[in-house]
Amino acid sequence: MRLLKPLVPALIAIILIVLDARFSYLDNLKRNSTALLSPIYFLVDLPGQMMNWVSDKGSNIEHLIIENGQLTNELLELKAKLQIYNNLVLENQKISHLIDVSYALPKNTFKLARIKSISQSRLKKQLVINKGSNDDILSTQIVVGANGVVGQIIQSTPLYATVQLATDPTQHIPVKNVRNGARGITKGIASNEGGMKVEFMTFDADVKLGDTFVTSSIGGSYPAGYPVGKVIEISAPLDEAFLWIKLKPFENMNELEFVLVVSEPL
Amino acid sequence: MIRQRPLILLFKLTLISTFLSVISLPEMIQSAAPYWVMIFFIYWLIYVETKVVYSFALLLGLLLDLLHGNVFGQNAIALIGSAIFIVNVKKSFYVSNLSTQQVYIFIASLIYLIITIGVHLMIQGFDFSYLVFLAPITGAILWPIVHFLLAKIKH
Repeated sequence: MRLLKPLVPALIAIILIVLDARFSYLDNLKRNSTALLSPIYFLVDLPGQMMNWVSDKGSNIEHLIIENGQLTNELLELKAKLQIYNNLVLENQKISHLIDVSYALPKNTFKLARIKSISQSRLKKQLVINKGSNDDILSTQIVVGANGVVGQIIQSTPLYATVQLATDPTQHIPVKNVRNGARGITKGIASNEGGMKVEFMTFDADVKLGDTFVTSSIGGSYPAGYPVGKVIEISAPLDEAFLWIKLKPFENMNELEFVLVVSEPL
Repeated sequence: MIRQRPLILLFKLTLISTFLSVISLPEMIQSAAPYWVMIFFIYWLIYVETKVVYSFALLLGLLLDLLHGNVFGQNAIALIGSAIFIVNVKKSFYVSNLSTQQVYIFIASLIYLIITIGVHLMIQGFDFSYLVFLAPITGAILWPIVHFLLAKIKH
């Protein structure tokens, strides 16, 4: 009799796990409920925000002048690099016309967001950013850093959004090898190391150590061309049908402060 | 037994423990962070006479799942599992000294951990490391301090 009491709540919990993990029936309920809970994150983040504010106010003028000088130099350097990039884009367009390519890279728009909190353990790898649905941040949008892909928005409330990192074991990204276009799907490795593996690449696939994988637009959930990671380990297990390829992400998730949320043009 | 209404105390404990559980910590400390909500819930369970233990465990667990973006029901089933153990040793827990209580907290945390890992294994796989045992250990170590501070809140 004593064990019967927890049976109903336990069964409810198990049913919810199955419904959430295998189907998407609870997505709307979760989204709406999370919006109600967003003030908790706001309150937890308040001391940090205040520290940032005090730190910003406390910066002396000399430090700001030096920083301004450095940023101006960096801006000039980036403008110079952008000219080369623009030339490459023009050349690419000309070549595309010549060979009559039917697709073109979309002109995405970016929204800058500050990271509020990072939650990285072997069980889940997520971060929370300070922009949400009030800033047109929507679920499934891709998040990038200065060096490469960070992850994908999985939850958006009016005040903040949750990003599932590319290294999360439940996060899958369609990718292609820059060198030869060979396609695969990355999946985070359930460990504290924060690596990824590329799945579904057969033994005859041409992959070498140091190869770079970028996002491919297969499936339509990720825009193409953003760097994901570099191959650091390849093996061919006898009992598996596919290669074991380990990627090191270009973006160091522990050093992030700001990220860009990429949205497709309307 | 208690000077506050049970639900008010539960509300206070839930508020504090959820705040503690969503604070962002460095990776290593995150692995060692105790299951705050479970520990606070055990405290409430021990010092309050109530018949709706498992329904509250379910609701608290679902709240935690929403806050952490976990699979819905994962923390709920883990919290129910720990609650079953604590309810069975409640009388003994209440009269035990702090070190025996620490053992009970360790076992409850271990049950919580095992259920959580089980759910992860079924859904996405799990790469085992001994670091996962840090959370039950720190939970047991911190229990006397938590007990002392919660006693202040209770009164």
